[in-house]
Order: sequence, then C-alpha cells, then structure tokens
Amino acid sequence: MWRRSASFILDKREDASSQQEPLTLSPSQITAPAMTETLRNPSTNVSAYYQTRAAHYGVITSDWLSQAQAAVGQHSVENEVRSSSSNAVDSGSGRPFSVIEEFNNWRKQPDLAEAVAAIRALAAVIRSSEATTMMELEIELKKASDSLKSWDTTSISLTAGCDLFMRYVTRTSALEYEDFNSAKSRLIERAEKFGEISCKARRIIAMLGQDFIFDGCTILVHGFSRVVLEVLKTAALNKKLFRVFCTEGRPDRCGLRLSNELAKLDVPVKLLIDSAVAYSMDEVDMVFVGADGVVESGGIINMMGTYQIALVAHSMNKPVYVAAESYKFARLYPLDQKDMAPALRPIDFGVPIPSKVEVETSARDYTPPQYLTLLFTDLGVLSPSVVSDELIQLYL
Amino acid sequence: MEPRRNLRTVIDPKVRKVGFFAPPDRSQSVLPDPISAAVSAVQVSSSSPSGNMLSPVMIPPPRHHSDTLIPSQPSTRPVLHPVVPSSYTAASEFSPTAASSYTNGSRFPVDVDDGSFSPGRLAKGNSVKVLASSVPTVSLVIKPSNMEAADIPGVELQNDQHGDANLPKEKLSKAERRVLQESQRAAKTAARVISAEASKGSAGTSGAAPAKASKSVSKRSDNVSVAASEKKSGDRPVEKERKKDIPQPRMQYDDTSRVEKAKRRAVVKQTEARNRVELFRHLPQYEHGSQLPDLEAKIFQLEPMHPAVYKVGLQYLSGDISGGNARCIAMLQAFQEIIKDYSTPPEKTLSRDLTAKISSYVSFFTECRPLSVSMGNAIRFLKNRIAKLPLTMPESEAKTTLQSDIDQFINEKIVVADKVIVSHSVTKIKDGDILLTYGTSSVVEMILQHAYELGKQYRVVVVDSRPKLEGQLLLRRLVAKGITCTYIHINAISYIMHEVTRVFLGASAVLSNGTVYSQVGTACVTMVAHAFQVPVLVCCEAYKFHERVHLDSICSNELGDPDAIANIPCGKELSFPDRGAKSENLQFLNLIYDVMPSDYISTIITDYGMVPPTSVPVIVREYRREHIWI
Amino acid sequence: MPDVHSLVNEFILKLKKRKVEGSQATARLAAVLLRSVISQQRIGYTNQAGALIDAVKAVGEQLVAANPVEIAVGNIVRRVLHIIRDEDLSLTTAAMAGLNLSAVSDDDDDDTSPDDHPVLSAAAVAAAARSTLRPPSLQSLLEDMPDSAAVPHTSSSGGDSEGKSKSADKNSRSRKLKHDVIEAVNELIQDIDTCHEQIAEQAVEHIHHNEVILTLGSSRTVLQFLCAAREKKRSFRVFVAEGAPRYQGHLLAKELVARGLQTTLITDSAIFAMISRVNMVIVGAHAVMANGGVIAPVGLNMVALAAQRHAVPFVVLAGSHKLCPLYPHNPEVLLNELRSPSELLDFGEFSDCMDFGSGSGSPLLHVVNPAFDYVPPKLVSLFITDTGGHNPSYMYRLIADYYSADDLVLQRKAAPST
Repeated sequence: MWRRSASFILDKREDASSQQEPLTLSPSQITAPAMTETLRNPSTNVSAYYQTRAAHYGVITSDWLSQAQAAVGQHSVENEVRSSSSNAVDSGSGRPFSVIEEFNNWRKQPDLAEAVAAIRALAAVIRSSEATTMMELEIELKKASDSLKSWDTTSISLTAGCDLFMRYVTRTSALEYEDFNSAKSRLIERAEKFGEISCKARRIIAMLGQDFIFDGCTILVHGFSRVVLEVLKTAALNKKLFRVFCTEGRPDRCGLRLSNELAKLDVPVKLLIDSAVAYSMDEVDMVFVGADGVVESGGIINMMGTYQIALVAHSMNKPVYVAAESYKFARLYPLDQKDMAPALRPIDFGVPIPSKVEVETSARDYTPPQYLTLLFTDLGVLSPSVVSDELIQLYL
Repeated sequence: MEPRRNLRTVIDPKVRKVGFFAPPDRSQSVLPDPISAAVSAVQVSSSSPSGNMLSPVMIPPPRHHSDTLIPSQPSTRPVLHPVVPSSYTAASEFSPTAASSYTNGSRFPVDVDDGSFSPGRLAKGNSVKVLASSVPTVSLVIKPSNMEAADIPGVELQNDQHGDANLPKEKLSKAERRVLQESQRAAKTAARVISAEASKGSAGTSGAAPAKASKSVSKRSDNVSVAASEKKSGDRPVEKERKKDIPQPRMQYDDTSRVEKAKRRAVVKQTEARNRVELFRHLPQYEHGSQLPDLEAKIFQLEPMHPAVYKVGLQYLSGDISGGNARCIAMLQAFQEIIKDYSTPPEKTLSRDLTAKISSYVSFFTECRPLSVSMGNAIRFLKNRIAKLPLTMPESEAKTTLQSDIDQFINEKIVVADKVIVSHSVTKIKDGDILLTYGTSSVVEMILQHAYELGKQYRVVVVDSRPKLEGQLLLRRLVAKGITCTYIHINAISYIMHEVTRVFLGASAVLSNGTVYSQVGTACVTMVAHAFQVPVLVCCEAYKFHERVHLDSICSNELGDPDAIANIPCGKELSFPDRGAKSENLQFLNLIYDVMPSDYISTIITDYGMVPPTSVPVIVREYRREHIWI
Repeated sequence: MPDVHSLVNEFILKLKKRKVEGSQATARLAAVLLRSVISQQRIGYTNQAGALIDAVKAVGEQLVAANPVEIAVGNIVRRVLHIIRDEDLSLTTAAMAGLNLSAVSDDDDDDTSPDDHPVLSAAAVAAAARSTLRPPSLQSLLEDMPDSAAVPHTSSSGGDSEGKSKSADKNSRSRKLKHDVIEAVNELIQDIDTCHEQIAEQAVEHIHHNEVILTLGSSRTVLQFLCAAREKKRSFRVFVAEGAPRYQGHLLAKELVARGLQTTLITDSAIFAMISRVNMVIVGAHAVMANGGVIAPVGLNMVALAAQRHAVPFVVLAGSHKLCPLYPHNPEVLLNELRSPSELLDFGEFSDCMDFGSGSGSPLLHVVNPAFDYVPPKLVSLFITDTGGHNPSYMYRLIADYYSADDLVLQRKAAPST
C-alpha cells in the first residue's frame, strides 16, 4: 500500500501540475478512474470521507481559492458525468436504485453529517423497496447498508449511522406493527427526521458544552468541527468572553476555516501551526475537539494530530473535551493507531517529494480514552466510560 | 542468615550494643560464667532457626553476637555491667524469673534491628516497634553513671546521633579518614569530659537525660511487663518460648478465641507508654519545656562550657535561633569566641585539643537540637582548618588565622553566596508574576525584597502551616515593605496554585540524589506545584549540599514538641484538655523536616548558579575540592 | 400553606447563615422539609405530578439559592423530583395495564406517534416513558428525539390522559400518588439516616490487620467506618491530619481514641512525609460529581496527589445523598466557599497591614481561606457508597439511577433543555 501511495503522490503531482488544480480539492480525478462495478470506494488510496471533509472545510489561500473556483465548474461537470456513468453502471448491474448514489448526493450538502446522509440513503432504499414483509425489507436494507459501509470503510459515522438505523429497524419490527405499510412509513418518517435530529443534537451539545466555557478562558481547537463551532458560537452568543487558539490543521488547513468563522463572531482567535501546540499549551485552559467517531473504549477517532494534542494536554493536566453527536458512536475497538482501517489522504508539501521518500498519508488517529476528560454528546455530558455503556445497551 | 547478622552487628556495634547489653548481663547473673553464657547463647541460636523459620522477627539472638563480641572488648563490658541493672530494676520486678527477662532481653537487639534497618511498613509485629526506640535513650542513661570507661560506646552513639557531622566521613579519602580518626579520638575525650561534667550534677541531667531516663525506664518496664504477660510460665525453656512466639501473628487472624486473647494482649501493649510514634522511635524525642529550665539551672555547673556556646545552645533549644543559616552563623560565631579565649593546655597540641574541645561543644549543640547539615559542613570546615594548621605555628597566630577563616567562611559561603543567589533569582521574576513561598527562608525573603527594590511588579503568596506559623512573620515583614501578599494555609494550596507562576523555596540541605531536605510541608507544596506545572525554584547555598542520600522523610528527621500539635490557636473545644492524662492510644507527631523528590524541582539556585537537581553531586564534588580539601 | 412557608423560610435562613453543618444533616432536613411541602400541596385532578413537581421545584430553587455550596440540598431536591416522576410513571403504567384500551386511545400527546395502534401494549408506553426518566440514550435516539425535549410535559401527560379517561378513579389516584411519593420520600430519609451504617458495614472488606490509614479532617462517615472495622477486631493504626484551619482532625482523633483506636495526629504539612508509610487513605467528601470528581474539605487534593505519588489507594466514603448529577466545570458548582480570614490570622495582629493601601487603594494583604478542594476523578481509587464500592468512572450510572435528566438544572428558569 505504501509503495503505491508514494508513487501515487508523484502521479498526483503530475496531474496537479497539468490540471492546475489543488490536490485536496480534486476528489473527482482521484475517484473517477477507479469507478467500477464492484461498488467499492473508487480509490483505495484515498478516503472518500476525507475528500468530502476537505471539500467542505478545507481552507485555502486566496490564490488557491481562485484556482479552486476555476476548477469548480470542471468539478461539477465531472461529478455529473460520474453520477450518470455510475447510474448507468448501476442499471447495468440490474439494480433500479443505488444506495451509494443516494448517499453521495446527500453527502454533497455541506451541512449534512455523514451519518445523516447514510440514513437518508437507507430511507430511500425503503421507499423504493418492493418488499412486502418486514423481513424482506430488513434483508434488503441490510444489503444496502453493507454495500454502503463497504463503499467507504474509512468513514466511521457512515458505518455508525447505518448500524444505528439498522438497529432501529430491527427494534421497530420487534415492536410488532401489524401493518407493514405503517411500519414502513414510520421508518421513512423517522429517517427523514434524522437530519433534524442531528441538527438538534448539535444544539444540545452546544448548550451543554458552553457551560464549560468560563469567562477569560483560552480554548484550543483542532481541526474544523461543526459541533465545536456550534459550541463556540453558542458561548459567544451567551456573552462569554474567551479566546480561541486554532491549529492550522494541515494538510487541508481546516483550522483556517474555523478561525475565519470565529473571527466573524468577533471571538479573539490565534492561529497556531500544528506543531506549536505544546508551546502554547500552558496558556490553554481546555482543549475542544470534534470526533469522526467515538469508539467503544470511549476514545475517539479524529483528524490527524488530535492524539498528540491530547497527549500534550494530558501531561499538562488540561482538560480535553470532545464534542460529538451520539450517532458517531461506533462499535469499534482500536487497540492502537494501526488497528483501524487507514484513511489515506494525499498531502501537498508544496515542493516535489522524491519518490524514495515515503509519505505518511493517514488522515486520522485514535485517541485513547484516558486522555479525554469528557464527551459532550446529545445524550448529555459523558465521561468516556459511558460510551461503552450506551453501545452495550444499544446492541445488547 | 547467620553471617549476615554477624556482619550487621560488626558494622554497627554501637547501636546494638547498648540496646541489648543488659540482657546478657542479666543472663550472666543466672549463668555466672561468661563463657558458659556464650555457649548457651550459641546453643539457643543454633537451635532456634529450626523453629524460627516462619517469623521474620525471630532472628537468631543477637545477644549471641554481643557475647562473642564482647570478649574482644574486655574493658567495656564490666563497665557497662553495673549500669544496666540500675535501669532494669523496674524491669526485673515484672519478670517472674530471670529466665524470662533474659529471653525478653534477648529480643531487644531484634527490635533494634527493625528500628534501624527496616523502618518500613509498620506491619512487622507488635512487640517489635514498642522497643525499637529504646536505643538512643539508653545511651543517655548510661553516660552519666559510668564516667570513665563508658567512653567508647557513648561517643560512638553520639556520633551516630549527630550523624550530620560525622557520618559522611566514613567513605572518604585517606586524609579524610585521618581527620576523622582524630576527631573521633577527640570526641571521645570530649565525651568523657562531658559525661564527667554531667555526672557532677545530679545524675542524668545533661540535656534531655532526665526525661529520657525516666521515660526509658518506664518503657522498659512496660516492655517487660508485656513480655512477661506473654510468657505465662517463665521457667519454660527458651526454645519453647520461641516456638510459641512464632505463630503469633497468625493467631490473630484465624482462631477466634485466640484472636480475643491476642486482642487483649494487644490492648495491654497499647496501654503501655506508646506516646511516641512507632515509625520514629529511631529519632530522639525531646521533652520540651522540662529541658530548658534544667539547662538554665545548670549554667554554673557545667564549668568548661564556654558561655558563648552555652548561650547559643540555649537559643537553639528555645527556638530563638532557627533557620539553617542563622544557626550556622551563631555556631560559628560562638566558635570564634571560643578560639579567642582559647589557650592550649600544657603538654597538648593546639590542633588536637581544640578539635576535641570543639567536638565537645558540638555534642552539646546536638543535645540542644540535632545539627543541621549546614552546621555539619561548617564544623567539618573548621575542624579541617584546625587540622591543617602547621604544628609550628604559634598559638596566637593560629588563633587569628582560625578566626579569620571563620569570618571568611561566613562571608563567602553565606553572605556572598546569598547575594549571588539573589542576583540569579531576580532574573527569574518578571512583572505580573505571582510568586509562592512556603514558611520562611532568609534567602527567599532577600530575593523578594531585592526584586521589589528593583521595581518589579509582583505578588507574593505566603503559604503557612502549623504548628510554627513562621509564614506570619514573613508576611508581616513583606507587607511592611509594601509588597502585596496573599496569605493561605497549606491546605488551600491547590486552590491558589493555578494562578501562581513561580514557587520559591529555601532548603535546609540538598542531598546528593537531588532531593531537598527542608521544612516539613515543602514537599507538599512542590508536589502541588508540579501537578499544576508551576516551576519550583529552590534557593540554597552550596555549603548546605551534602553527599548523603535520602529517599523518604522517615529515616532521617527531627521531631519537634508534640504539644505544639495538640494546642490549637483558636478552637478551645477542640483542644485536648485531657492531654495531661495522656491517652496511650493518641500520639502527636511533630515532624520538622521532609524530603522532596528531585523530580518536583525545576532548578536549584546556588552560589554556583542555577543547576538542575541532577547536578547536585557535581556541586558537592566541586565544593569539597574547592573549600575543604585544599 | 403558611405553615410550609414558614418552615421553608426557616430552613433557608439556616442555610444562609451556614447554621447547618454537614451534608448529611442538611440532606435530611431538606428531605423532611420537602416531604411536608408535598403533603401540604393541594393537587388538582389533572396533572397532579406536574403540580407536585412545580411545587417542589419552586421550594428547591429557593433552597439551592440559599446556599449553593451545600450541594446536598440540590441533590435531595432532585431526588424528590425523581421520586415524584417515578411514582407517577408507575401509577400510570399500573392504571394503563388495567384500562388498556382507554389509556392508549388518547395518548397522542405521549411520545409514541399517532401511527400507534391500540395493540401497542401499556408496557411499551411505560418503557418509552421510562426512557424519559433516564437521560437520553442511543437507543432512543431515533425513536423519540423530537418529543423528548418536552419531557416534563410527557411525564405528566399520563395523568392527563388518565384524567380524561376515567374520572371515577381520580380522587383515589391523586391521593395515591401523594401517598406513594411521601412513602418514597420517607424511604429516602431513612436511607440518609442509615447511610453511615451501610457504608461502615463494608469496612471489614477494606481494612485489614496492621494497616496504617490516613485521613484528613473529620467526617462522621469516616469515623463510623473506622470504628466498624475496629469493632470487627481489626487492629490498625490511624494517622489523622488535623485539617487546619478548622482542626476537625483533632475532633476525629479524640473520637477515635475514645473508641480505642491507635491514633496519631499529624500536621497537614507532614502528609507527604507520612504517606509513604500509609496503606490507605480514607476520607469523606462534601459532594461527588457526575464525572467521579470529589468536592472535599480543603487539603484533600494535596493528600490525593501524595497518595497517587506513592500509589496509596485513595478511598472516598460518600453517602448517596452526596452524589451530584452535575459536572464540576458547571459554573454553579465551581463555587467554593471562602471562609473568614480570622481562622488563619489574628485580626488584632494584622489589622494594620490589611489597611494600608499601596496607593492604588487596594489592600496589601489578602487572606484566602477556601473551604473545599476539588479532587479530580483520576486521583480517586474507589468510592464507597451505601450501595457498595464503585470506580469513579461508574459514578455516572449511579447518578442516572437517582436523578431524572430534566431535573439537572434547577436554578435556571425556563431552562432551554434543547
């Protein structure tokens, strides 16, 4: 894998130079060549999840931005092309409806969480389903969710969202709705409401989290997280006086975007390069991070760099707070950093990297629970040990 | 097992000897022939291991070693002999037979071992701890009554007690060893002088002796009574007694009827004089209050004691002079007086006689209050200077040299060193800092004042603790200067620490493994500072560095007046009105020092600059090379 | 009613003047007071539980405001609220089980959706409603998310529907609810009374022969715990740190000695020196927070740090009335009580220093005398409560058992629970 990725970087470089397009903004060129009938993630080298993230949150310098804007037209066209082609592929494979297609469409909306998109996609499956019994429907859904999960194994909230919905479906069928159609409509209704639920979850988290922000505190934030932004926004609206340190968040530099957002709220912000965390930690009162997924141990999987920030914070006795919606709770149990499906992402170093040089392209790391202080979720403020409790309750 | 024991007794005979000398002597009263006593002891010990295997306490009777050792020192034994019964008269009343007190005596050394070598967890065995502390006290009992010949054990004991001064020398160079020998010899003579002096007064009045004597006697009697009650039939063979002893610790757990019995026995034990904390039985516990008037009354009886020394000693005792530097300077100035008034007696050399004299004074100081490391180092310096004096030098010249040497020491090692430390330290204070200090330290106070004079804007948090409440004095002085202060009690340290930016502390000694020996509570302060990532700066002159190492605060410490703990400033209803009744279950522990681990310390500021705690051995080495052994 | 008012006011006054010492006494008094509030509360036919809750909440708010530092009061108020909800629910369930048809026919304002069919059993409704008593969970995430925001409403809705459906049952039901609630509150009071004994019962499991135990300050729980071990014929030794500036340790030492325990009184500063010879630290708490952190008498954080340094178990004894469902970073809990400086310094001696200003007018001397310390959960080895021993990481579960999620916020009016 790593060999390929190394050469991949070079290939990418050529591509980028030829197309004048920023690397991280080019999911299409990465995905396009790999689009196959297997319905697998188009490129095994690059995490689709992180492509989306980069596309949504990646912040770029102004010339980058102009380049990117120039590229957008081409981009969307390509997307359409791709979607039609994949549609063709799907119809070719004899399926009237592609869950992945649906998912990808939902995913495009920048404000929609991955899990929401997944559940919406599954709802679409239900809608288009011709099953006549609950059992059939369940089997169909299972298939769809499996294909969805295998399409992007790197996205934890996708997996968690699918699991959550499947669990709900099973429980609902267990609730003995006599009428299949009413059960079906209820499922669909619930699924469509899920987007709302997710937004509400974010608001709950914001309310819970802002309690912990006290006047005069300094908060370190890593990466871009909608939830964290919501928390900070709520605190700012509640007239809390605080200061935020944003890490730059290489390689997609999503920290820049967060700092922009915060500056709009008139919150004092200071940008740090990712490596300045330990240097500034003594000024920091608390660390706020989002999470891609919350795993069974109570630890989190999040953007690369979270682990080292948590380590630094822990060694300096600073609290690390995680803001994460409960649908990100996943039945995973990574034991160490390498014990999870790697999410790869190309990195732009700005200079050519010789082919002999290996590049670590993992996009995320795992932070064990002992380095986390509390999790703010829509289920309430939880200590890491509660995550397992919730998951056990759900899947028991 | 056997050889190891032997080794121990050989290595450290002074302690053990005194503790268990009595029993053999008593045994001798039963077995008049010393050889047969030794033989019987051997028999006992050779037979005991089989039965002893289970109990860690039951070590082959060291009495056996003492017996085998003593013949090699024929002079000491007969001398000691008369002493012991006197302190044991009470004991023998309780013991039904001689044999029982014999076995019981034979357990003393075991206890001593426990006390001095493994002061670890308390859970060793009940009988042990009761006795462990009898060691140092006995020496004081002995001293006055056998004037001439008690010198060797007595002096050795003293050396042991003020180990500050002498202990390190044991592993030094040849020259050093010579100095040591000389000083020891001198000390012996000095001790002889002292004990003679002391005996001139009413028996057992030197320093803490009276209280101790009575105490130790009562304690012994208690021990014996306990032991006697344990051994219901005293005429049982010794071996059986031992065997019976072995399962004891188990009994308490298993069999309920025996648990009851054991409990009752335990209660008996508890009701005996246990008002000293078991863990600290190896440390001298002075009865404050009774000491001072006694000593004051003796002022005209202790003839050869120089008045300057006497004065300083009294000041130590009453606590008028405290703090490492102050005590050291007071002592050195007293020595200057001595040297000024000194004239070499006929047929003696100045260096020998003066060293001896100084040693005698030092032991007096030790009785007033255990020496600090700084004092030990200063004494070492002075003795070294005396020893270095050329024999040919005329007396007057030698005296002036020594006096100027002392002046130089005070100036260089303390006054100038403090200035250097202050100049280093103020660079670490910046505007807006919140500095925390604990207790009082003269250097830290100088630093704070100097920084204030430099116009730095900072705030001071003065942390204080009972029972001394020294911080209030510092607080008063700082506030009078106009420095903004916050005053808290040590318990509130976690509350205040998050706003503190620097912790400045003094130290009474810095030990070679980087630990800092300082006023009790300092370790707590640094621990909390460490937890809050606040840098800890320890300010300490290089002459307080020492090559000794400590891991905890138990092994080496000083005990203050326990009554100081019992008396609370404000709460009347909380204080102990029945303190006079002295419930045996209640003890008060007033530790003076504690040891802070080196990992809590960011830097040690000395006259050599700012060094990490890992460099303490380097400073010790350099210091020695520069100032002592030139 | 005026009777209750005067009672409430009296208690509030006591709290304000800090006349009530110890969280157990406070908790008990609060529970007794709330009981009389409930018994005097006249409740209508509909929404009885809601009325009770409102009454208790109103009183509770005043009590908490009177002394926000005495966390036990708030805990008891929440416990009582939880009891009301619980009793209401069980009554509803029972009633529904009896009147299955009528109960489900109009439960449209209950959180099950209009699609529900009569077949939906009462048990299912109860289960759904019970989940509203618990904090929201992943399970219910998809199910009743939209409704759960209005939980207070739903929990009283059982009464509503009931009121509509069967009026003959009303009177007996309303009396029953009140009766049950008062019974349950009595049980709670009893629990508070016996919590020391129940904690002390576990002493033998934790204290063994020849152990050395360190404690700081005074706590009745600790005293009884140690004495219980002593009564079980364990011989051990106790180091008591005096706990300046209140010197409660002297009190404890006196008590321990009176009961024949080997006791050594040490200064607080000697804790670090002594801890290396200690087998276990046993202390009481002022309050236990939801994350397992402890609000404890001042000085205990230092003890906990020292214990951690020497790997000595740090055991906290706390009755369940001390469990607080809040997190320590919540501003309302961050409150520490600052006591009078006169406990530290003699005013007579230092009054001159306190006055002369440094030009800016601010006094040169500040005296800080906090009453409490916060001990973070990672420093606590074990909690021993009247329900057994628990890890700090499990405290959340106990809290979920004792409190309803909606009652967490007592003070803020019109709390935006979304």
